[in-house]
Amino acid sequence: MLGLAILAFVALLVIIYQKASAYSETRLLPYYALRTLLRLGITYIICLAFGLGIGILAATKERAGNIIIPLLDILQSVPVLGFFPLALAVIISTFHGSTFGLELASMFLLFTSMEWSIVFGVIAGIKSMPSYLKDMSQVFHIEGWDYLKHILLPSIYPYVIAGSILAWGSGWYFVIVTEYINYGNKTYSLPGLGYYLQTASFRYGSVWMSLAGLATIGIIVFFMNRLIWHRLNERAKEHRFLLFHGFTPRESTGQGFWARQVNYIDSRLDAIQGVHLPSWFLLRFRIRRLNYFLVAVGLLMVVVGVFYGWIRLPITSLDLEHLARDAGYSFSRLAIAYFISLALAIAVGYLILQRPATKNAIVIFTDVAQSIPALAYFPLLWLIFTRIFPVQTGLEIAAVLLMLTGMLWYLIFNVIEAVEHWPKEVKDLSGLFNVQGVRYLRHMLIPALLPALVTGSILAWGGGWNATIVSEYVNIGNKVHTIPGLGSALDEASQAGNNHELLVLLIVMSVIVIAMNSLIWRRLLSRASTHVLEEE
Amino acid sequence: MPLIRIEQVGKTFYGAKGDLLSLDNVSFGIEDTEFLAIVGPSGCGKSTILRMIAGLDFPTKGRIYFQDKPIRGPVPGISMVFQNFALLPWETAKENVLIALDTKAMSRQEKEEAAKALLKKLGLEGFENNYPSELSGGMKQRVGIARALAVAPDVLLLDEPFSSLDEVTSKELRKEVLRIWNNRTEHPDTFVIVTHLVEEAVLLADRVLVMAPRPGRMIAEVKIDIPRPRFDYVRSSIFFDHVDRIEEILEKAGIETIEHV
Repeated sequence: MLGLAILAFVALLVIIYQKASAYSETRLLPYYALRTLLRLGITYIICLAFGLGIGILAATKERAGNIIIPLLDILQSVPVLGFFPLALAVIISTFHGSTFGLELASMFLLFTSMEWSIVFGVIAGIKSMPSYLKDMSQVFHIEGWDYLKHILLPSIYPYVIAGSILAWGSGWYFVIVTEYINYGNKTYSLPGLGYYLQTASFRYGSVWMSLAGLATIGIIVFFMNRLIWHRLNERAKEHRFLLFHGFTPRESTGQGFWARQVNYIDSRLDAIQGVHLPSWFLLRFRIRRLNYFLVAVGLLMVVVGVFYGWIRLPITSLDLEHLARDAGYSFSRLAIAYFISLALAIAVGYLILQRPATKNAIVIFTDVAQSIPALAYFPLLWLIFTRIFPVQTGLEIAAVLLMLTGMLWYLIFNVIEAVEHWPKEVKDLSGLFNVQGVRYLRHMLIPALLPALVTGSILAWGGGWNATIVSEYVNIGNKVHTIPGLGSALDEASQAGNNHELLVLLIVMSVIVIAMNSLIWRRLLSRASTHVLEEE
Repeated sequence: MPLIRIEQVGKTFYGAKGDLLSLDNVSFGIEDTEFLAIVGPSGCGKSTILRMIAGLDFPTKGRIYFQDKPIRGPVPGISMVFQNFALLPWETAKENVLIALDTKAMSRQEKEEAAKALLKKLGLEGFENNYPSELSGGMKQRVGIARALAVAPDVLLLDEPFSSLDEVTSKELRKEVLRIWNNRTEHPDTFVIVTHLVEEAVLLADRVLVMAPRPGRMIAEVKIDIPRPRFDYVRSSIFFDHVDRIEEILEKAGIETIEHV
């Protein structure tokens, strides 16, 4: 059965590549793949070096941490995609449009998408080091390089691996956009898989070419996960086991294809848990609000100073009413996508708890669905919905759907992780006292999932705002379709090369994200964590 | 006819590395108004049996009857106190008790009153609106007991209820449990406790069932002929004779016993 399926899959691949080879770009696919991999690899090494340096500093020196952690947190909340045209503008003007400048701009965007999970992984790792390790190294005078090599780095190894896996995930997502960008009536491109994909859908409108690009990404991601990350993560598990005796490695579910899938997925879940644990979010929020505020104001002053004082952006008048309306539109779309995601995530949690047998199927589906970059299939989505509905309605639906794919996975993965550690007692209680239906949701499921839901929500809204930039504005066959919103306003500003408006929009978006983090999520999380389920 | 009958119950875990027999052919009865204790080392399946009586776990062989009806899931007549309290941390003491009352045909007002009365009975007056994180271990278990009593069960199951508490608190709670059992005018009056402490079993129970592990099985039944209140006899030879007899049985089965003061 399995052999047949693999055979059919290979046959399908052959057909796809055959059909796609009608376009000359397809012959260059291996070269494109290499360029993209190289770009990602170099950026990753820079991210790792930066993450270790800044992370160790922030986690070991309290004073530095009080500035660095809020700073990283704020920078992380800024929608990455919004950064890009601006970074491009600065770098291109510095390097006069050379390929080197473009590579630098692309790597900068990749850096801003990959860095956070690594640096936060480093900090989380150091903060959760058992205190006896520090005591021990003091007693035996293990200092400096020796401390780093024998104590610190091995301790944080699992967290760094977990962060790296997530970093590569978002790297793949964004590399698609960085290699082909419209800015100020010009198209800048870099050879790579992203360029190939975008050429496929925007220049040729070729489904076969798109499929060939997607298949190539899929194959590379699959083998990288198997050959590199899975192995490193297995080793990381042993580290974790040695560090915390509370942790028991999951039992191997045996051999065979599906069993291996489940094993692999379990280790992915471990990885996600390493960086996205609610307790770790709480740790970040433990830094005083005043610090956050001061750092935010400082950052704003630096940005304004650089762009208006040094680069001297021309200040044009802004239609504030229009801006507020755009924000309202985007926010409403995101809210719809968010509540659908939330309902789906809670339903998934309920389903897994009621029917544990469904867990593996759900996790496999989620993992596969999540690893396909939504950006790549958006044009297809758009084509379908504008055929069925009037164009504007179709656009709205496609936009909300794309936002949904930007939000859903964070919530679902966090929920699956929480359900995984569901205490047996709660299950017993609901049976013993016949707690079912709405009462089960209200008294047990939702409160127990709350920390995971909040953690997922923070990430989901971050991902959602990013998605507005690509979902409210479509440029197909040299025809532009937009729906009103902050995302499309950003796209239009970058098309027009209006850097001043771009910067203002970016600041507005960031302020919304940061305000939601501190006004809603911070509060909910700290409330949820005072009454948290303890696993014995 | 006993109130609860455990008939040739066995449990096997089927695993990839072979099957594991965790309970082998266990049979006994629980009489109405009896205080029964099940002792044995960890891994002997004593908690599994208790969970099966509660309808939370199921045998792979044999059957359990409550009032002559086979147990297929949790029933209102049987309630349980958990080792780790199993309180919902996001609900107050009162709300934790209300969880058990919710399905009853009572008005909201009546339920609130009932929950308050139960907490008062367990000595938690004034702590109704405290969250579990604001209560001591002993108080948490008092909430756990109040919740178990809320469904007015015939049978109360106690799964190592004091093992996560210190000795002084355990002693107070043992007295409390005996007081509830002694109160013949109110339900429940059939108690089953699972414990690894022989002294605890001798102090509380009319009858002690002794279990051994690998596979989990029943190896002896010891009647406790010590007059009540037992607290008057804890330093007398009759108390230690009973403890010694059970420990001897355990040692003969090759199980190490620990001396408890």
